[in-house]
Amino acid sequence: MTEHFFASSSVKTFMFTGTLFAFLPANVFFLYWTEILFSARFPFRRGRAGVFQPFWDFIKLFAKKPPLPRTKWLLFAAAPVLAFIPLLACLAILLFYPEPTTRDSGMGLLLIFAMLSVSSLGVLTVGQATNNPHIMRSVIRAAVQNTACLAPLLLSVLSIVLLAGSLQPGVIVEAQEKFWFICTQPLAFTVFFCSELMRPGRSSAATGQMPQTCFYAEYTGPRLALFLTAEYTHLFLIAAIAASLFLGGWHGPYLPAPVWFLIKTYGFIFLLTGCRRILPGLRNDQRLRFAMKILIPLAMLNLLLTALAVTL
Amino acid sequence: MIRDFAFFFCIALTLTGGVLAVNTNRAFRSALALALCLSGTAGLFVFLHADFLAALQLFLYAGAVTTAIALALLMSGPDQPPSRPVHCGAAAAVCLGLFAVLVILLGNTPWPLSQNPERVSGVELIGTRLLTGAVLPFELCSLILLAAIMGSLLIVGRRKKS
Repeated sequence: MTEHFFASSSVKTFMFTGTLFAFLPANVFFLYWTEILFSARFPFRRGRAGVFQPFWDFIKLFAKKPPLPRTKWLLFAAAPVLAFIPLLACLAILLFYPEPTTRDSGMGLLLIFAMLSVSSLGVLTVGQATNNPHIMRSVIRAAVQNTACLAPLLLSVLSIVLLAGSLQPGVIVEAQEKFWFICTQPLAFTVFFCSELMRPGRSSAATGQMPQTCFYAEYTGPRLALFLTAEYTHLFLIAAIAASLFLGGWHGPYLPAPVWFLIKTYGFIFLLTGCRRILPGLRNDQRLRFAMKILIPLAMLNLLLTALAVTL
Repeated sequence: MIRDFAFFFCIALTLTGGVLAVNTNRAFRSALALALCLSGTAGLFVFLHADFLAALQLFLYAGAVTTAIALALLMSGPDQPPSRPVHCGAAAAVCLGLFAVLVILLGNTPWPLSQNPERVSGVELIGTRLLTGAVLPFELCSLILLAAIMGSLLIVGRRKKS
């Protein structure tokens, strides 16, 4: 009787389909796992633990002949430059500002944030140059989120400026000789960290090195290298600002000042990128709502409290 | 030497940006050229020892306003040049009138040179002036901004209903 039951063709078909549908995800998971395992462990990395791999990757990008669209080629070529040049200016301001010079006009931070806001023009230019609706969508998303994240960030920075009484990173760092501003301004630091966490860019949703939904998906070669450079320079800039505003800049025992500054900067970067990998990515409207309804009011409240504390 | 070079570079940036902004028939290019022009003006402000104005020019005009314009242009669909120029005569009349007013104003204003050309921090001066003598215009500006925001919200709301 049982033999007869299993031999019936409908049951056979049913079991066959069940096996198929069990095998399908198992296969996918197994192959996905082996792929990430082997691509991480395969001995094709240059240098120990792949230290030289980024160098080779950039060489590869520069060796490629970049495609240039026939229409709007100027906008297409100008976009990465537009995104990168302001960040270069930012870096110059930040690296040469610590020593108060004679030409110091006391507005280092203002200039830095001005350059950061100019940099998003490059992103918008990509959308105009590539005539691709998908790219356009991610460009608009990136631009809107950039702006939405910059507002609470600036408000949180403002309370530090109020506390130190200067717009200059050097003076703000000197004001933190006894205790860091993260101790007196934990709320400002939280808002700063969250708003930077929400910035698109190296987002948590991306499993690969270059997410396909990224706005520079149509770029390759040297221009892509320029975009990546801009991305990482932006990361470094934000971390350097955080280190000098909240973490005491170059103050620290035993080690020389630049070492402390770099330690704090890269510590902030690793914390930020780690959190971006671990935490689930927010949807576009969720990000905007979080920035507008939670972060900005919190930063405003903090600003009010700081102003009260400074005047009293 | 380098100072002169930077000065003429800023002038060239301003003029090129302005001419390009007026002469292209694509709105987006015009916006980018406007950003170029405004950055050049910011450089000129630095030469006038008005560093705070320069930083604000970069921040608000080259950064924020141009980004807003560019975003609006991106949202409004493909950037096609208009088939024929529109309202040429009216535009020329407005521009010439504005130019005449500016020339008359520039000619009739005395430009006194500062007697002590040492650098002072512009931030403190401007901040003090904004919150003491010029507090009424300052607050009126924010009122205008508020009105603009509410007006745009009203327009969007009405469009959604219909």
